[in-house]
Amino acid sequence: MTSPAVGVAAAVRVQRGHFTLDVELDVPAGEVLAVVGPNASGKSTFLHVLAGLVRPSVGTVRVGERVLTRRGPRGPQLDVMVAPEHRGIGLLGQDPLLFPHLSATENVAFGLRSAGMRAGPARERARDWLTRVGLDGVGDRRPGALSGGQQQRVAIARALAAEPAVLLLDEPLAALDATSAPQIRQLLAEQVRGTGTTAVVVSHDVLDAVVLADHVAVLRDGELVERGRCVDVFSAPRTAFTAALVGTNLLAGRRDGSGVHTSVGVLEAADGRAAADPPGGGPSPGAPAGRSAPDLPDGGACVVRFRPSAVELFAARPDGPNAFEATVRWLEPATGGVRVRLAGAPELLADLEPAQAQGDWLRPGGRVWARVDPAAVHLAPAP
Amino acid sequence: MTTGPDEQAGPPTPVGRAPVAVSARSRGERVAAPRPLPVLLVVPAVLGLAAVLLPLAALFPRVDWATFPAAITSPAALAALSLSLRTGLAAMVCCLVLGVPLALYMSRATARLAEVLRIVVTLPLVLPPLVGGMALLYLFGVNGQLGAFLTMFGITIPFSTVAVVMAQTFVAMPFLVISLEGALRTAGNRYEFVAATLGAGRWTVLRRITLPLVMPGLIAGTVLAFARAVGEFGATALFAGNQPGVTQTMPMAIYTAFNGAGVTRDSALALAVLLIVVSLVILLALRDWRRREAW
Repeated sequence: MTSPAVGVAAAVRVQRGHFTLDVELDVPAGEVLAVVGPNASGKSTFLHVLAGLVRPSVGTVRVGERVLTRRGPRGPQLDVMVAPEHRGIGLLGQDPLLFPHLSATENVAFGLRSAGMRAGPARERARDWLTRVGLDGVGDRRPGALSGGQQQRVAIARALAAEPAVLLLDEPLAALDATSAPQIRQLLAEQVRGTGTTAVVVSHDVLDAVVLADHVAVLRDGELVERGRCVDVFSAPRTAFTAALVGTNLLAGRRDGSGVHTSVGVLEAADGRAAADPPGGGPSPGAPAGRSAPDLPDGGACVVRFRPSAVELFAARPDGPNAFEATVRWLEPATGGVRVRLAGAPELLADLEPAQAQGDWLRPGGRVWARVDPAAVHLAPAP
Repeated sequence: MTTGPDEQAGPPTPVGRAPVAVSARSRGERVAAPRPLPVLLVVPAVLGLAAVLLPLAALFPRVDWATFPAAITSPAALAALSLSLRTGLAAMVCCLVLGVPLALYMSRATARLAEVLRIVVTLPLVLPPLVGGMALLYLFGVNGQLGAFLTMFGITIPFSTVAVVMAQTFVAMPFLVISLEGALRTAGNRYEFVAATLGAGRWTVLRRITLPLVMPGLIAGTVLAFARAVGEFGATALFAGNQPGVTQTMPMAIYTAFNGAGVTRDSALALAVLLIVVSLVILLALRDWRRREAW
């Protein structure tokens, strides 16, 4: 390969009825990209295009220098569509899909055998892999005799043992119970990084993205709306979906001298310059300069974000700036307290300590006053 | 990295948390006792069982056990038994060679096309075998569409051992194709796709994934097809005739013997009993095999 930095490069458009997926993404070799987005945002379609299950309307998929899919306006004679078995692209879904008639060892050895390795060495290698995923001694069992977590471990070993150029992870932890999911997530992170495998992981869970991935791409309605390093995107989300994903509040607005005009009124950010960096909890070192608040022109479209813990709730109008009235949607448990969802588009979150949440003034459908600490309001240009 | 205790699939726990993937159903257990049926149903149920069992049981007291060994080892009987086994096995192989690919394509066809194909393939199953024999005779007879063509090369099929195999294949194929196609549809294609992402080519996927996954259905279909081929009478009678050593299979020999020609009626009885015993052995072997292979 002349350009080892290229892992996967995909620029594809898929037209399906009224839905259009139009994405250009690349993953450097050895890195992991998380693709997050609401349902029907095109995440699965994107994976299927990479895996060779779906032929795009137009576009190219490359792994390294090798073109796996090409469909272009230059005519069908230049089109390329490499079959799934010749792509070197592995897939791990939420269902382990172990071959039920083969033992755990034979399952792991399957890819090696398909690549032409002899039975003896392939079994040897498969047993090593089972050890690596913490399954010493169960190699002779059939999948039916393994628990769900053990099956997913075998599936991880099987996918990685085939040494795919790219590994696609489609909600790999979604079917696991609360006890095994963290263990498998950790194992997956160790093994994917340990083998230097280039990977794309699709997930609903921000934790999956943070633990497994270096970069994250947010898809909405088939379009890429945010893209960046996980730490940047999640600490300073600029779209409602990403904000909801990381559990922070995000409002779109327009800035002028008095503050930012949003759907809940004018919000002040205490210091426009400071607002670009999240205080305390780890400043985002990689925040691109172009996103810092001082560059925001007056009258420019922008987004403000603030953590649920920065929102206080009152029964009556409080003093001070950044107060607005809202309707309580419902209450739910939060770590060390109560999370209140306030109706609106978008919905806002407020985290209260248990003592603050007592009393019947706080009930679903009731009107309350909210106040946001100006020091905790962060500004960013609109996406 | 160690495996947490929660992941161990130990023996079934008394409460909650059934071990994953070893479902109660696969071990033949029920969640609760079945609801009782209306009492009166027992009458037709018992009669139904009797309708199957009594006629077969009635054969055994009529057998002359003293001459039984001689009857089933007479030259005519042995020739018929040998011909039945050879043609039955040949028909079974034909069913496998032609029926497995047909079932594979049918299982991948669109719903509408599969429905049409299923009806076509099932026809020999519901037709009187005599009609099948007549159809084969018209196609392969010396004046038939294909027969006339083959005659030019000096090949005559009707009333030969080949005709026996063809008649048996005609009537037995549906058993294999229908049961295999059902098994393939149930298995789905998800494992095949996983195998492809692991680098397995089409032949490897077929050999190591698709066929092993449907092996119980394939074995059952093959055994049924073999049994149907060995029992074949009507189509064989019209298309192949009843020539000892060439086309006289067990059912033909039993029919001939019963009508008092060639072998004796005692021989017919002995051969019939032999067929029943062979069928029972096949069914028992199949049951044991399926139990052992259950996953």
